[in-house]
Amino acid sequence: MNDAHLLARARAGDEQAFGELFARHQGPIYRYAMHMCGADTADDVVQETFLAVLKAAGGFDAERGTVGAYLFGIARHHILKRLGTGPSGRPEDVDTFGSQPAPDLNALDLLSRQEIVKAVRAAIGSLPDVYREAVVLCDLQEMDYESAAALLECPIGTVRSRLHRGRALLAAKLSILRSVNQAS
Amino acid sequence: MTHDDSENPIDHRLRDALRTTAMADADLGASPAVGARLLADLRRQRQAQDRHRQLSWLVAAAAIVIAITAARWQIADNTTSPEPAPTVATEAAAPDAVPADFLPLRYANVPARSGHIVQMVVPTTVMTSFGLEPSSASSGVVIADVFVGDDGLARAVRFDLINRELSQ
Repeated sequence: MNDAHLLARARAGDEQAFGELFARHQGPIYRYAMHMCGADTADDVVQETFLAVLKAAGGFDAERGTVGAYLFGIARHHILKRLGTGPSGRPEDVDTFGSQPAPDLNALDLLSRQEIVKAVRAAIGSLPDVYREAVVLCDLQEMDYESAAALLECPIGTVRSRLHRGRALLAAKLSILRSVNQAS
Repeated sequence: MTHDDSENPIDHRLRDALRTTAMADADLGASPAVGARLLADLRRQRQAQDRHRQLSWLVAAAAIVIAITAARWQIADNTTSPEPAPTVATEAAAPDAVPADFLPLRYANVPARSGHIVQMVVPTTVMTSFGLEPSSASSGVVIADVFVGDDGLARAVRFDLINRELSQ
């Protein structure tokens, strides 16, 4: 059964359909929320997202996108509320990278898988919201540019530039590991 | 990655680090309590919908019963008397009115703007209590027309029309 049918049946009170829909989509939404506003509130975002889905009489239009995109849109609304920023009120050019030299990521070779994951998560968490969102959606959630642009309500070019800057900031933050590792 | 990185080059070590993180993240998800809370909410929502649906059916059924009762009364009245139906038989009765061919009940003096005729099966002893003689053909019960105001108070009752109908 496809997502749209599951959604319709879940709204009609079908627990099995709701369970299936939840199982399919809670993970990506949880991870998106976790990287955007922390693991402590990711559960709340997932809950609020699916509650909104159940209580909304309409809202989903299969011609405008997938159920997944629809859920991400609702989740994003709740995430932005928690971040205290609206879709149009976010700083676009917050650039803490500046004109630093090209980052050296050799330090990553010296880290274990667990250390890499920990370091990347921490580095992503320290990015400005707009760049973090682009990196989380495109690099971690593997969302294509078009879907990301639709979700972020911006042109594809903006997604690309945010991703470019986000990756550069991320690389700079991770390159710091080199000096840390060398020192130890 | 599902998108084309040719226009957005990425250091292979950073890409690998992001992939490693994405793979590690793949196991993460909402706690089971979230799913349980949502299912409980879904059940509450469905029960509320069921109650609303049942109430709608009850209202519809009540409306049908009232309409049928009123229509039956009007048909019976038209066949037994050539004159127009008494105003009390309609939903909009005159204020304070108790129908002429009805016997007043306890709340007959309470003003009513409108009301309904409700048919009830009652023992013939009820007729006796009003000083009426039940039909000899009656079987111990009789159908009574009760005039009920829009406030739910019964104001008047009559037996004679239905008794004629039963005896026919």
